[in-house]
Amino acid sequence: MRSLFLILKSYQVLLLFLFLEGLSLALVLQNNYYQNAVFYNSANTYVGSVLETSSSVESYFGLASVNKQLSLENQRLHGELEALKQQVFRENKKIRLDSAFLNQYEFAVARVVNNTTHRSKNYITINKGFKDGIRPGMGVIGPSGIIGKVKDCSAHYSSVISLLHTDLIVSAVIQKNDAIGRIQWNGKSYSTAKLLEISNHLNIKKGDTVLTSGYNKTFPPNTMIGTIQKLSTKSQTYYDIDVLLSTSFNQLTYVYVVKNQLEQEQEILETDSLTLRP
Amino acid sequence: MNQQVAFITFSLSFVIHLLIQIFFIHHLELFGLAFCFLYINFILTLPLDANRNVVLLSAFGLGLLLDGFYDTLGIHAFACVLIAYLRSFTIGLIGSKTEITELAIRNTGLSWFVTYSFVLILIHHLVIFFFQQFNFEMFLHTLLRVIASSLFTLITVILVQYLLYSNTKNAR
Repeated sequence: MRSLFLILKSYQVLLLFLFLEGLSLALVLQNNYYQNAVFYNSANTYVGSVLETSSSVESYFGLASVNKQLSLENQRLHGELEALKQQVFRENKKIRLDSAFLNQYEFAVARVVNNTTHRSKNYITINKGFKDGIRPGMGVIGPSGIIGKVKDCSAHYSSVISLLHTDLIVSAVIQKNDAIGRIQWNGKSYSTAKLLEISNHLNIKKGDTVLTSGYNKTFPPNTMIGTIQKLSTKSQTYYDIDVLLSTSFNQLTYVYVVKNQLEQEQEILETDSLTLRP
Repeated sequence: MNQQVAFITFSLSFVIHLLIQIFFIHHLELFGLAFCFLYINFILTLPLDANRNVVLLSAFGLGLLLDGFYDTLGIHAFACVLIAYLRSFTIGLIGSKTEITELAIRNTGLSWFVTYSFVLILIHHLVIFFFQQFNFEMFLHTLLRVIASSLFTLITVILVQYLLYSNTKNAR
């Protein structure tokens, strides 16, 4: 027994080393497999508040550009509102939409307190959390397009999987001809993503607009994603398309979290029909 | 008394490296390629006679704290513990004609210190970037990032050496 202790003591440093490396590795693996089992990341209350302090100092220097961005968005929204008013007026005020659909999406404003663009798996931290009704799985959009999907929430902060994350896939549609594909980032430039699964017999051109499709529960349909920047026909069946993202991910300040009020209803229906299938 | 001084320097160094990394260097990047992880200067410059268990544990703690800010749970901790463990082997491998008493340029000379730091920085960055990638797609791109970032970190580590230590040499 005594010799065992002596052996253990002589290898003490090595054993501690192996133990700590094992522990780190376990954390890495757990973080990769169980997305929601994570309690310690930038959405953590303490980490979040430090990040917020640091970003609130930085945000003073960006006030001018934030103002400009917000006023541009206001202008665009005014335009859309006017157009809709005109349309309703012309249609004899007879339209009665189901109020459940009218209020399907609710938006919560949040400020970005941390953001990266240089990794292959990027996350954004925002200053709204559980207490503001944010839940994992909700979509996040910005003034000029989609941004990501909520991964974890603490009481006051949430960590968001950025569109610049190689695992995030978003169903997309080309506005011109309703061709459905999916958007996925390839880990290279923060201004472009790949649009996959668009058959190469379709007639598309550089500059065509890419929007979110109606086939997802996270984002409202027809939210801007970007425009086609480059396309080539390398493979036999599909185009190889680069989409220039409309959001500049290195300058995020304010974002909107999308709460889809009907998501649960849709989900229940879909899982029910799956289980009922013979 | 001496031990108390050593302990205070050690704790201060830990906190300062952590704060500087979080508040000033966190978002620093050059050309989207090079990133700076100056905080490992803490591990590089720990005293030679420090208890190796303490070195390992403090490296683990520092790495884990930073993981929270980088959203990379476990990766920085892993890399830090690895270089903390390999530190003494690296010193032995490089060897030296004169005896090394302090891990600073004023004691070891520039070329020895550059070799020593670069080896450990390179190991640390290789682990960080390839763990984040988690596959070997874009191998060359990641390798380029590792090398660019290693040089960036190395330059800042050397700058810190000259800023903090060079004057005290003349003063003493």
